Amino acid sequence: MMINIEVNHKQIQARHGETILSALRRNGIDVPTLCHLEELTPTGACRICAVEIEGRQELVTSCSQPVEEWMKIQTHSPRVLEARKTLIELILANHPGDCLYCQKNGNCELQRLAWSLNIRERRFHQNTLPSRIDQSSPALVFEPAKCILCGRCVRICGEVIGVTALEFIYRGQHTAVATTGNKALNLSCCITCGQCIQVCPTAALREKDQTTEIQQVLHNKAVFPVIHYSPALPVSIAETLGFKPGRDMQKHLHAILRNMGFRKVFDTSFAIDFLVNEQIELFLKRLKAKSGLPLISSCCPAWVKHAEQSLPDLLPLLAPLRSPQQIMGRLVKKYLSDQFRLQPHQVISCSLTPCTAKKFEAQREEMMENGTADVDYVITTRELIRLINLNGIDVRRQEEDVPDPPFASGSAAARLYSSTGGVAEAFARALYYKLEGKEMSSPKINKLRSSKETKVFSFTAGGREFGVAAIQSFNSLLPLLEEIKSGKKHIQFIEVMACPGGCVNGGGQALNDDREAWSQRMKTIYELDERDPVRVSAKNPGLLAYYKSTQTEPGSREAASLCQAVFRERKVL
Amino acid sequence: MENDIDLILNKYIKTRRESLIPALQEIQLLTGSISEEVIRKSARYFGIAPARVYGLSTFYDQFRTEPASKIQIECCRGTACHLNHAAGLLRETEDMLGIRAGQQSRDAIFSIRLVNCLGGCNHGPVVRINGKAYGHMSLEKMKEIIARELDDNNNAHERA
Amino acid sequence: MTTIMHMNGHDHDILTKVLTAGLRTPVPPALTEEEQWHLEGLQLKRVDRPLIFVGTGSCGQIAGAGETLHAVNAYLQLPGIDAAVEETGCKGYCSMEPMLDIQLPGKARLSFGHVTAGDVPEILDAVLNRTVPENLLLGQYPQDGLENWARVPLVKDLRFFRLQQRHLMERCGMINPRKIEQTLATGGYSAFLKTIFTYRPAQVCDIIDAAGLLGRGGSAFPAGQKWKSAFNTAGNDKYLVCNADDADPGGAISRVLLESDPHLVIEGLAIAAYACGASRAFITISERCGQAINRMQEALLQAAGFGLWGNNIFGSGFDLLISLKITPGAFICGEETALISSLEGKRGMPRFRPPYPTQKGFLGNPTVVNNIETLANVPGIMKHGPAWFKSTGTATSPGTKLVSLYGRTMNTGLVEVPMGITYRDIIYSIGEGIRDQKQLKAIHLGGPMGAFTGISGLDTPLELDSSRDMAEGIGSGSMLVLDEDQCLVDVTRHFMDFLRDESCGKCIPCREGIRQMSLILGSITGKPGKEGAHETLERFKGAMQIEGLGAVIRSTSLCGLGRNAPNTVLSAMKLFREEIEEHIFDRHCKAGICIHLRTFIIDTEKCTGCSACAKKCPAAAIIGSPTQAHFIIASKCTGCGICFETCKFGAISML
Repeated sequence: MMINIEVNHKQIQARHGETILSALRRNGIDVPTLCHLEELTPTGACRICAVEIEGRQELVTSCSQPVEEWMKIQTHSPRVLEARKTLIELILANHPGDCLYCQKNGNCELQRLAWSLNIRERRFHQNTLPSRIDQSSPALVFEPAKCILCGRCVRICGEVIGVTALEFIYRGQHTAVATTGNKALNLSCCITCGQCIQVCPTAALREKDQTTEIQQVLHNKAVFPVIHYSPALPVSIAETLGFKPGRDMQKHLHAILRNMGFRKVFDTSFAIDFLVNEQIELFLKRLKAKSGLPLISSCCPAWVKHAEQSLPDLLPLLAPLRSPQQIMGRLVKKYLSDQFRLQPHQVISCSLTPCTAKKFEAQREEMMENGTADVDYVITTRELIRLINLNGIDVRRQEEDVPDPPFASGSAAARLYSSTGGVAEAFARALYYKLEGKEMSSPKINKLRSSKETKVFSFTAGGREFGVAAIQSFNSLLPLLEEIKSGKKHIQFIEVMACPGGCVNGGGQALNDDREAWSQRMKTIYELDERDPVRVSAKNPGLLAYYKSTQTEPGSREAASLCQAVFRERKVL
Repeated sequence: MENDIDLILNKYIKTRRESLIPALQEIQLLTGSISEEVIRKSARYFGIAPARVYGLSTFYDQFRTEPASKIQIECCRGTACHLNHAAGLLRETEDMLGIRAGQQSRDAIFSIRLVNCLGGCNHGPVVRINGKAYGHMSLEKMKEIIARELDDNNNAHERA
Repeated sequence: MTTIMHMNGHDHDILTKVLTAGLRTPVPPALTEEEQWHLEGLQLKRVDRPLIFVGTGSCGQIAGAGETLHAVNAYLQLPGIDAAVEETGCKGYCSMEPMLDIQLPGKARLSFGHVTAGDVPEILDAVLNRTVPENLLLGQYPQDGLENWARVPLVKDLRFFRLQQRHLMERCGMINPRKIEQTLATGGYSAFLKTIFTYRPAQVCDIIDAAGLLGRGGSAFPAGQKWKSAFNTAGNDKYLVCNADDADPGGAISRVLLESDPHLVIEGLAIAAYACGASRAFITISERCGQAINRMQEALLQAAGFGLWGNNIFGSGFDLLISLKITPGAFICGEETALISSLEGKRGMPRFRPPYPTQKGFLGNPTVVNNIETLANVPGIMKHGPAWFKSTGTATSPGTKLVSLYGRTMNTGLVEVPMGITYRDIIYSIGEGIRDQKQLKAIHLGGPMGAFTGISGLDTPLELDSSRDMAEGIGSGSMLVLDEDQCLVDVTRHFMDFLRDESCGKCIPCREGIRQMSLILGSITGKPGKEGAHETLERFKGAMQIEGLGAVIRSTSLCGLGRNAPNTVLSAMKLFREEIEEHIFDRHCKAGICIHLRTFIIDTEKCTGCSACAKKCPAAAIIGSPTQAHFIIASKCTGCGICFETCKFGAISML
């Protein structure tokens, strides 16, 4: 039901029961916000969105106030603007003044607000309480001095991801965001998924930036830097480089990386297909033994950390396999030291990923061989953008190029890994192929492509009924396992992702105001899937060639040794 | 390992998250502080994230994250006491003990806290020491009371 | 210590008869003569032997009432003494504590003030020998059937009491709150039972609405409307919360009621719960108030024991469960949505409205949060009717108000005055003027979230501001009286610092805005070690921001704490600008309270050059050669006053 309200002396239509903010946005009237998160209920904490309503003495926050018929609203009156300006100035008075040296310089919501509100002088006493910067986590940096206490990180971590590593502590001017016991991040239950970074309006939460180290590596003649990129990358860089969001930039990506100085560019999709094959072998073993099911995916390192911390009883169900990044790391080091007679430590293996948790995974104890890490550096999409800028690479003038053999190809199923439901879809296609000897007649599995919390797909193969599921939130896992145990649902494989939407919405992706950018990326991935001739992992030609040349096959000891992972209970609070 | 904390928790209905504060109040009476163990157990019992329990315990004045000091000095920060030079007395106390309001001495013997109006508005400055409120407090009087409390404390230890 | 004193069966029967008279058919038999006589004993009308009352409320305790009680008990052990002692709560006459009353059989009750342990034997000796000592005597309480003492004034004619109308405080300090029989005998809970047997909930809402009862916690929202709103919201689980959480520095309202007449509060709460359709009620008391908690715990147990709450109260079909909740210490929990958050087991953060608590409150259920004083008014209204209530006070603010009078008046404490009484009458009549013959400088009303009133406002009638702007009116009821020796800027800073520390930290204007206000006021009332041009500029800039910043904080804060925090400083700017400017520009505090703005000078005539002051000066601001007159360098002087205290020759004075 539509009602009439008056905004800035003009009549507009609003839906009965919606907030003023929602009505304003739909009508193109821009009111700034700070603590607002589209997917969550408002808290009314920052007051920036306050507007003037006739008949009300105080300014009213548009994010929380429902519209009422014939409300007369002013969004930019002098009183409102003065209030907004003062509120931002109050934050700035309690904020470090090192914008020019800050990682978010040029991409900071606070900076934008200060600029747009025409703040030109420090009217208030500059005074900050002492705080410590936390660099303990391999993936994240937390600088409380820059925190404006908007609460977005607390809410995302608690209400969306379901980990609740962060919470407000103390009160008043001493309020801070912290972990239980105010401990360093690496001692907390933080799973390094990086979603908090995605929502942080300042640089208070940011990824551990290794741009400087990568630059040094690239210019170090004594080493052989190589890079392997996740299939999410090609669809993740378009908008930051001035192209249409979600556009596939794969052909540009290789030249960009080579121009930067990487000696070899590999496609991690190869390792994804490798992993899928191992998953199938493992699954069939468990199916025969009638134990260890449902098999739960373990390619999301944030999910693995969460399981180790909070659900250690489920660890036996997880596939004891590494993520594709780590498999790729092993493959790459082995291949290059064989082929080019290099020492493993001379090969600097860099992984390009949309994920921050992969920085954590790369430094896990078991991800080393003889003291050398399988993956030396993990570069997030954001760091890639920095490297592109730093090295002056003109994206538009790059020649189209392809990855280097032997790790140059991936199936369309591998590319689906970037999207929620994709791991399950790749698995289903592969299982069907293995048992039936041919591909599914319709490989596109719509049931695994919806935005539902829990997606389920059943199919028959080799004369048996199988069910695969994909969940988007940890909160859905235990109820699903209950249903499986009680026999209500027949599921033998569950995909678990920490980030809503999957890796296309990873913690390392480009930051922008559009929280729906990842849906564009997903769309492109599905389009590419339609056009790709190779839609199941087992048919990846490069992989088949690799098996031949190394005389291995899926499920063999050699293959297993490249994929082994060890999960153990972690005691954190 | 089951212990007294669990005994207290078991008295509350675990689906009633609203019982968290009374449970923590009762536990603190027993254990002296909201330690990590208390956080872990109460979080698990009520099905609340530990971070939320910790955040709650630091929000309120009553909850301590470390055990109470032997001598707890609570200075009334009410307006009537303020007019009776409570601020000056606080400064003198802080100088004497070498700690500021809100802190505990390293040997855990003294702590100073500001507390809201204790109701002795005609008899300021009012200071509460180990739970007993005294009016017309001065530095000399405080020294006497502290000495007496420490003595009682020591005697209690010897007897125990 | 909560020891429950058990009522004997005889008392129980009598009181039940009294309570249920007129409620049931068949009508229970009237009291026998013996029962009537016994009732008078419970009413403290008739005593068989001398009865000594000692007021042991927490303010009395701090004044030494514990020792006084001890002395009385010791006296009672003496051979030949046949008397008893009863502990009471607080009469609200805090400047007279410790207070002691004595009632001899057949004689009116006598009242004494400032009775320390040492005074006890003299007074008791005299009175027990039927003489009235002049020393410490306040007056007597006349009653029908009791003989007055000759030449003893009536307590109600004392200047402290004369203008008061003690409807809520009638029993405070007069009965033992730990004995429910005394409350029941003097009419306690009769209004409650009459209500649940005579009226439907909607009717009760109407009656309270007709009476015009406004919320007494500062918001002045019409109570009847709030109840109606909850009553009309669908839902089976409704809650009533009695907010007794006051932590206003200098505010004694909740504490006195809880310690002195807890049953009045329970009765008001029970009626309110009935009217709203609530079957669960909470009383929230701050953990700081140990005695109040104990008294209420006991009172609840005793009331339950008598069947006054629980299932099917007195066969009425009304169920009510009351729980005592001890809030773990945060001023912000006096705000109703923050209180609800705290009750839900969360950080005490306020929430935006709508939705209002009466629609979605505790655990999403309709919840009415009423201030304790608001609820304490309810039994009287139900007993005597809305017209009676409106006959006191003004048209827009009917009834009485509990006012916590503190500061520089001769008399301080908790008083109950009819709305409409002028501030002048409170200060000069009830308060008996300013102590030590000083001059009144300013009044501050409403606690930290209130504002100053100047001398020109002395004849303002005391009212609740129904526009709910706490910048005007008495707010929650604190009246701070300041004389020429107080520094208003210091008091302003004191309130601002308090609110800064009690802010929940959720919203920017309150958390950061009050913080800045505190810094500005700190820079005005203090002096940094070295004051250069930069500090001076900061100070001026800060001073200029006060009004603008105050306006933004008022218009954008999420809850009442932030919204009202600038009231004090804005009223100070308006009424006492000169004093503030003196601090900012002249760097001078006339009252001598802001120690860093004090300057001392040495009278060269009196100075002997002993150098004692120079040796002690922590800022090395005193120069001079031995035996020559010394000199204080004003720019180095931090105003600590050590030299002033050291000089044996009286040569140093404050400018």
